[in-house]
Amino acid sequence: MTTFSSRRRFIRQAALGAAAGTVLAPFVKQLERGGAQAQPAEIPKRFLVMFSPNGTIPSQWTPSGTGTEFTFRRILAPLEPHRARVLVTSGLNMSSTLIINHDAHQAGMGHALTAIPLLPGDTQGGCETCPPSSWAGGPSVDQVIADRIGTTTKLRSLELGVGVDGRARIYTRMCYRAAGQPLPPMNSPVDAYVRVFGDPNADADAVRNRLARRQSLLDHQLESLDALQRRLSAVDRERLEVHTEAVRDLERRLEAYTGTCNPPDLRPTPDIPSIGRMHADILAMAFACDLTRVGSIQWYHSGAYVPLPWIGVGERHHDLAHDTSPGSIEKLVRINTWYAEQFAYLIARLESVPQGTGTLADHTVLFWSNELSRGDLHIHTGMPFLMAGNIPRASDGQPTFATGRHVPLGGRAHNDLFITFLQAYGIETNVFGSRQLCSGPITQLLAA
Amino acid sequence: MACALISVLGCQGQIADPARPPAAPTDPGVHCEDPTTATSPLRHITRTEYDFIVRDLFDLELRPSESLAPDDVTTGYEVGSLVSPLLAEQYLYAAEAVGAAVDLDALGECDPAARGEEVCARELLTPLARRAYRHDLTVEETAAIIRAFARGRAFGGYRAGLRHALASMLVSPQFLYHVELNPSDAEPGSVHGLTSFELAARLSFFVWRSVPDEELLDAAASGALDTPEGLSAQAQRLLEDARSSRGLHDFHRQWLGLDAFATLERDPAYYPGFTAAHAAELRASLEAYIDEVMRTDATVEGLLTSTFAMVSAPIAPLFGVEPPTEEGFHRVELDPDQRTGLLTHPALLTLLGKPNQSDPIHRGIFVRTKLLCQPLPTPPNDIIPVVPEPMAGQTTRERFDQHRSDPVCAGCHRLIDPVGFGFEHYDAIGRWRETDDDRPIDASGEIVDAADASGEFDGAVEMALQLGSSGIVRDCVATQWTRFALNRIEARQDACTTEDVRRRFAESGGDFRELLLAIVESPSFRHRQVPSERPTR
Repeated sequence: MTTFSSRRRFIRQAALGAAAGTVLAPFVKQLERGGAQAQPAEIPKRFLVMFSPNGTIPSQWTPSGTGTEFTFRRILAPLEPHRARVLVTSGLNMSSTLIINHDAHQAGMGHALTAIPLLPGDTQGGCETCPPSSWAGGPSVDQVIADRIGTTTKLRSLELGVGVDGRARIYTRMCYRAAGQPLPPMNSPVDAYVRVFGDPNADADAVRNRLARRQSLLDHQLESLDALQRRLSAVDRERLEVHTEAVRDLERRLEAYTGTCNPPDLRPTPDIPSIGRMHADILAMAFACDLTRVGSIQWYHSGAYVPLPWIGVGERHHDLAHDTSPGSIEKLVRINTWYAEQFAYLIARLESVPQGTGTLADHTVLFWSNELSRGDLHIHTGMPFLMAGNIPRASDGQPTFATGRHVPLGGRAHNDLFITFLQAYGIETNVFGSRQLCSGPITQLLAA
Repeated sequence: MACALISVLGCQGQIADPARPPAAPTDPGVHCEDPTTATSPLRHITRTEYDFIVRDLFDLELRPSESLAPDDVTTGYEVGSLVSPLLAEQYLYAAEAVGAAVDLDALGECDPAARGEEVCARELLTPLARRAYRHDLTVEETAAIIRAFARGRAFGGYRAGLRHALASMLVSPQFLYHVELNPSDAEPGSVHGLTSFELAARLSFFVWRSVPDEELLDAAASGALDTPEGLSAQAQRLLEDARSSRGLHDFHRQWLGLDAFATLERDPAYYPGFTAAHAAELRASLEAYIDEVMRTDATVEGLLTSTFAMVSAPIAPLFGVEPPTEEGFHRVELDPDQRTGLLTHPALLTLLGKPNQSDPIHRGIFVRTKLLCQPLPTPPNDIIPVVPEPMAGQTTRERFDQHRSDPVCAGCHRLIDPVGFGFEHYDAIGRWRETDDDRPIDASGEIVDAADASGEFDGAVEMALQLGSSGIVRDCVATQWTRFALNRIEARQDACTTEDVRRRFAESGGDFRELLLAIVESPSFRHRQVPSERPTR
């Protein structure tokens, strides 16, 4: 659980209103005063993933009508104010989960952003003929994008979590640097805030001093890592190399980051909805200050056994997902509607930050992911995926995606959605994840 | 509603039993005259270990673990597998924080003005580094620490230098990793004894979750750990030290899943007044019980069949006893017809309870996976397991009847439900109850396909006695402790170790002290296998 220890003395508990819109407004003014890192000549692209668990109720999720003539049903109704920015990509299948039949929650979580079979390992699960797994078998789409657009920012990417279970295993990780290399999300907004923004009250001398000392520590660490490397066998060298590369990367980024950013104060409150909103604020501010260009918010983890008492649901989400009684279905609709509100909040945060002639939402693709479609059946077909936002085309600066539509995709593999994303970010590839499932980009999603 | 009408191999007949070693010592592939063991991949220290190390080295109550990403639990126990970019960054900040918090004056007596700053730095830092790195320092390691001191001094003087050198130590891989090296020119696949220092480190991390103390390092340096008697003597010393409670508690926390108490919730409509404070108190009661068992009857039977508990006033009603008049936990004898050991402890029953009803399925699964070491598959992907809501007119047993009647479900559930129903006298906060929905409880059950733990019983007390005296449970407990000690799942090459450990544990009557000594003295604990040179991918 979040700890707000007194060590975080520079997070002043100011009396900020928590109403939407007020948090970023003072920050935006500071940006204009030139307190933030200078914006690059071309506005950078960003990418953001939100994850919610246990599938959905498809009959209440799938919009009626297609194309621009569509109507949101109950679950996605909170997205109505942002209708023009939303692109509902219904009917995608996580076909990669069929290649090796792992436990549905393991597969759902591991495949959600990687679209490739899991690695073998020791984690039991699945049927008698299902092998135990360890981690996902390839990089996640956000990390492939980060490798392209996140090379110069302070953080390559920022993984945030809300109430993510403290056990690191296949059920709790969705972002991967590479096969078998999961990225842990940060549950604490305070820790995330400090990591991203450092101490906003420190003067330039103190910052420079700290930076110099850190560089020195990292130099020492690299020398020692190098000395140890030479004495290890190949398989252990590989493992240490992952750490060493992370340290080298950290050192490069510390050197490169010279700007300042003056985010508004964070008012830490430990209730779950507030944590989610704080995370959204942190990501929006981090994007605005160009401290990172890739982020994710993971709500809990696959198969989450959590109640949502703030919307009057005292039963645990996973238990409800397996109950087909009308009362439970009603609660599941309410739960998923609430998650849609959180996604709407993310869109609104990005819309509140000016960028060029538009806002951050014109330079960010947001993707809402899930581990399952129907939580009761444990299936991965007809996934409740959708995207929002947009990024300009390289060719003419026009929006890449034709948003404001519902586009049913008839059972296409979700590998293709990610290929579409990768190409939008300038990564020239026709494959992602399991190659055998790739048909290429989903051209219907693109603007003419 | 129904389980899908597909044929499911499920649990028909055979359960893979990892509690049995895959290869008996007579298997021509594995000989026990020479020591054998499987490879152990390079691991970093866990965040639990980091906390204890900081306490031992610097006497600090600082908890770096709170700012470190979680450790890999794919083996069922926390192992430091891969350092993510986030963790690499967090290690940097943790090292800074510890370096900043250390009481420099407590490091030792040395007046830099009189003796010289670098002399004092060397004198104060090298003993710490020796413990932090778990071996006698090489010339180069000492030089690196002095260089770090010098860099730090350039930033802000002598004391800043000391802090910078300490932080540098804490980002060094010799500190962050459990380093075990191959002898030069060693053949891939060959088996070698660990060096004395490597063995000392394995021993102290197993028992104390921390670095060796000076005495253990000195024993390693002098060669005292190279003989079985010397190793055994040090192992016994560590076990008798108060710090051995760390290993004990860390094992049970992970084996029994005690972290779940922190987020446990009960439906106030069914269990009014049960709060997070009660959950925390239950956890503490269980840990106190384990401590008291280890103090008075440190055997598997003691753990599973003792009829006392450590009770405090807030949770006394859950045990059905009068609250103690004084604060804190007090040993209370319980009614042996209602309470016997771990399995009837309200803490465990609460952990294995739903917010609004008992949870026979997860209680049955607990017995299968944690006490019998029989892993179970999850339900097939395309059935709809419906969790029956509490309903008037039906007992819990009746609500789960489909598990028994539907052949698709029964394949696995015949292994689970008859075990779980044995716990029906205990509700979701562990209280004894005589009725469920106004009808008398039927807590009869059966364990099938479980070697000498198999058999019928009426209620969890009888079940506990059945399990507590069985060889299969004793072997499973040995397996769990061995996995915890070796930081990996046992492989074919560990067969000799598994046999030795089980035999000694059995011959001692399931004595835990004997078990831990057997593990420490086993071939797999004292040796390493050189990995093949081919990278994994």
